[in-house]
Amino acid sequence: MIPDSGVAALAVVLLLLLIALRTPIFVALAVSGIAGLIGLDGLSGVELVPLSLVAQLQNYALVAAPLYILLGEVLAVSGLGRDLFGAAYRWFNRVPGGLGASAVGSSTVFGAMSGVSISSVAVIGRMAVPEMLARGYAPAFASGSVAASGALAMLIPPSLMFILYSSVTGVSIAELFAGGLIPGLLLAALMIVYVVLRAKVSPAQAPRVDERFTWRERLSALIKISPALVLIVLVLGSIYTGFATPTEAAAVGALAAFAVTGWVYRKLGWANLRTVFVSTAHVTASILAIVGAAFVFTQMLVAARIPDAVSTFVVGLDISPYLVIAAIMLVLVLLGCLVDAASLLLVVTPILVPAIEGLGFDPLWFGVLLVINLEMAVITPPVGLNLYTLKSVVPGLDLADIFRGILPFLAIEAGMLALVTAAPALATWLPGLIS
Amino acid sequence: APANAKGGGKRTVATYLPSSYGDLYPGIEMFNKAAAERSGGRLALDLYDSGSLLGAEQLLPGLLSGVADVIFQTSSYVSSTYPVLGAMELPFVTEDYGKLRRAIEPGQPQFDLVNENLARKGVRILGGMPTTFEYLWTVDKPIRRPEDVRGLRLRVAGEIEGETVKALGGAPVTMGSAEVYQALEKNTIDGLVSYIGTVVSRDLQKIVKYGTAGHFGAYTVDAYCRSDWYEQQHPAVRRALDAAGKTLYHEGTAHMVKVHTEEYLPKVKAAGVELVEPEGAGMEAFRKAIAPVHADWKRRLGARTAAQALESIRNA
Amino acid sequence: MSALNSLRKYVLACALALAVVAMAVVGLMMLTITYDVIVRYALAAPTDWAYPLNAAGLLAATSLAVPYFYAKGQHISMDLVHRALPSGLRRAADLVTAAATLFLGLVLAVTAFRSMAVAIKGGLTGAGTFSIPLWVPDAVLFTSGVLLAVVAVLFPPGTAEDVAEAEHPPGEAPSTGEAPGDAPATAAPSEGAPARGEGRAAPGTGEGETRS
Ligand code: NA
Ligand code: NA
Repeated sequence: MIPDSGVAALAVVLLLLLIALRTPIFVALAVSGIAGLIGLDGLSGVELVPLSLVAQLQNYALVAAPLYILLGEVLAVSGLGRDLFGAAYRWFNRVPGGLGASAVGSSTVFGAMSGVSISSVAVIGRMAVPEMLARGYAPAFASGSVAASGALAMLIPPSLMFILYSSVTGVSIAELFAGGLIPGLLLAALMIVYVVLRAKVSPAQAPRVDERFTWRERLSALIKISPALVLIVLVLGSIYTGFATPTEAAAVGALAAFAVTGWVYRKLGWANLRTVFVSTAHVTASILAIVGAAFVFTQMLVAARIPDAVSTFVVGLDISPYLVIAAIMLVLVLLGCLVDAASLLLVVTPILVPAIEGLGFDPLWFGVLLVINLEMAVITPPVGLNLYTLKSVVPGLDLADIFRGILPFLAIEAGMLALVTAAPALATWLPGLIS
Repeated sequence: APANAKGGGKRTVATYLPSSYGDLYPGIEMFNKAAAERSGGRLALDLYDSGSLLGAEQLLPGLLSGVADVIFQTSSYVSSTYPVLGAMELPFVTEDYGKLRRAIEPGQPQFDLVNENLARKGVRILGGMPTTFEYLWTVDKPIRRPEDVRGLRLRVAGEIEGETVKALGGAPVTMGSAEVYQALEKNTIDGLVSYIGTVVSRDLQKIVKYGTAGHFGAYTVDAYCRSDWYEQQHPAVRRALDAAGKTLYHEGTAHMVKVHTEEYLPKVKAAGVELVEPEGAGMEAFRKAIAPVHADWKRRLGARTAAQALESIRNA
Repeated sequence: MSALNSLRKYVLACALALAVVAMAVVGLMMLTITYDVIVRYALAAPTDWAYPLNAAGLLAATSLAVPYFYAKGQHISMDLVHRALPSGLRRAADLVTAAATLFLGLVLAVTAFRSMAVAIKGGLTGAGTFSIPLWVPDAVLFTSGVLLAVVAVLFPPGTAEDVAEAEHPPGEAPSTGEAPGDAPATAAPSEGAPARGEGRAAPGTGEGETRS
């Protein structure tokens, strides 16, 4: 008779094997979870499958997920991304690496409307990268700034990853959103600083552009992006004024994005509507299928009492809790190289959070750390969704250049991870202020 | 079910309640301990709490499909399915908590009536803890008369609570419990209907300013199993389960009441929450206003059973 | 061959129909939640149906679209190892994927059916003043499970492109609801980027911008 922990270990092996064979992740998670349940309890174990799926996919906090995805897809067809980049460029054109700084700046603002990093990369990358290449920027430098800053959408509210984390832990979405804001903006600032310094030190990477804009042009560019500011104020404003809960703000924001796209940009023809809804259904089904399947898998781990065992083990360790955190972060970075962000979050959260709480840490703070970690996961090769997204919207780029260009930004993310670990207030001060 | 197929009489027990519910959780532990002790080693209960195996909405379906053998569930989640449980939840069904508490003692008419009713659905109640009364908690203004509820958005968790708010002229709002604090603070909702345990476990006393004390409903937190499963157990195991149900009712409830009166209520008052206690004519107005809730419930349950239930509570 | 392909065509049309329902559900979620927020804010009269209906809607929006995107080969997957395999092993890996998906579809169909039977027999219903019978979400899962099992058999990895090519001669744009994410996805593999799923990364965003 195999012990429960052995069954769980075999299920993990099956999971990795299926993933390696290119089985869709949701199938791999669900099938290895079901196999584990059968190993633990025989055929009666599978009765848990529909219950787990219903429990997880009727979780009201997750209602926000398809709606934030819809919001991002509507904005993507609007042309707002182009205006954002244009406005940023009119303000950053005189600084070294101005186009790169503009890409980071416009990704930051786009990230404050979109909850998914890939739409940010696709929208900004499509315009910014060809522009930079045309002005003689090094391909690695150009692609790195876009792929990395696109990930900011996960940390800057609204954020699908925080919604998923809340659905597993019950930590308030509004507090998580607030917790991600300061680290997100700090990261954006650090990225801009890096881009500017690098361009100054080695101008060959990013040749100076001589284009000049009048203040009048700069101001009119700002006015042109006012719909973006209206949307940000509407979504975050309705959350923090109490007009709507974070879940509901997603619906209000999506409808407002439709209004902006239809009335201001005149881009809501049938073709675009179809694009918007097909993509929304596609991303929703891809991600939430993983959410449901990951729940089946983690329920199997729960049935085998794995989270309890991990928690007991970690709490019983006779070492500094911060060493534990550092070890966890290191493992997550390594896993993040190989696993996509949503699956990673959904599988590790139920296992790690009891241990984190057992060590006396704040699950809100850990959620922010986890999402910074996932920011690295989406830009680390070999499996980094943002890298391939950029490649798919700018097919002329060489993947090797993209991989090389991302390295300095990985160092910046790692620095932020250390910073938030050392100074938890960066993540917890703002949430404390709002509640 | 995680433990079904394993030997050694191991049974799977599930609840959505986390151990942080200092009023209710000890009752569950008392049940498990009593069951294990009384069975003379035939019964070992393997508890999955905090919804780790089955969430609140999945407990009953999970019990019926054999994922869990015993569940602990709050009546508000299941009384839409089993209206007979609603008798204990009705607002102002009695204004004497002692009476409500006595009514549901295992072996008393109300308890037997519930079990007769549930047996037809294949479910058995082993025992339960009747909670203290639910109050109306508000942030901006106190509720002194039914008219004060008009236009207020109050968070509710079950059907009878929702109908109570509607009958008083307010609007019931459903939202996840993780969002309640924020929603109260930002005036997304104006208040909530709940017993004091919900308030303290979510730290809501820091944000609500008024509590209107009256019998605006109550829950029972009960232990259930399937009736066919119960029949299949060894007689000693059945006796142990019944004894554990009685322990839950007697000792679990006593503990809960003690925590509410000695710990939670002082905590809520110390946080500056003003308790509004309508008297005489004031309370009569509330009683009158909620009459439709009773009528709807009787219609759902059937007049005869409803009358039996009300009488058994009245006579307790 | 043509019989199989016409069967595939009909099954794909079924899967697409369910996916279209899923899309409509997302649109309705947006409208009904906004309506609920507005009436709660302006009239202090929130609905009691928006919450339970939209919770159930989430399950529908997800599970009804899953079989269609499986048939189209557009779920997230990692082809790191797969693309390094010799073609014989690659085909074996695809068979494992098809078998795993068939297994999942069957488990889902059978267990959801049993759960549905329990819910109907027990008259189980959600809590609240507006409550949905618990067999409804089970029925949605049952439908998805059956269809997932069918597409697992009819559309093993790689077939979606073949069918599309058979239906539309090269050069002609496919006209039946293909996700716009397709284009970048098929452009990538020659460069060694993960083909399935990874390309999904740019859903819609691509086409939208070029059209605008
Ligand atoms: Na964001
Ligand atoms: Na990665």
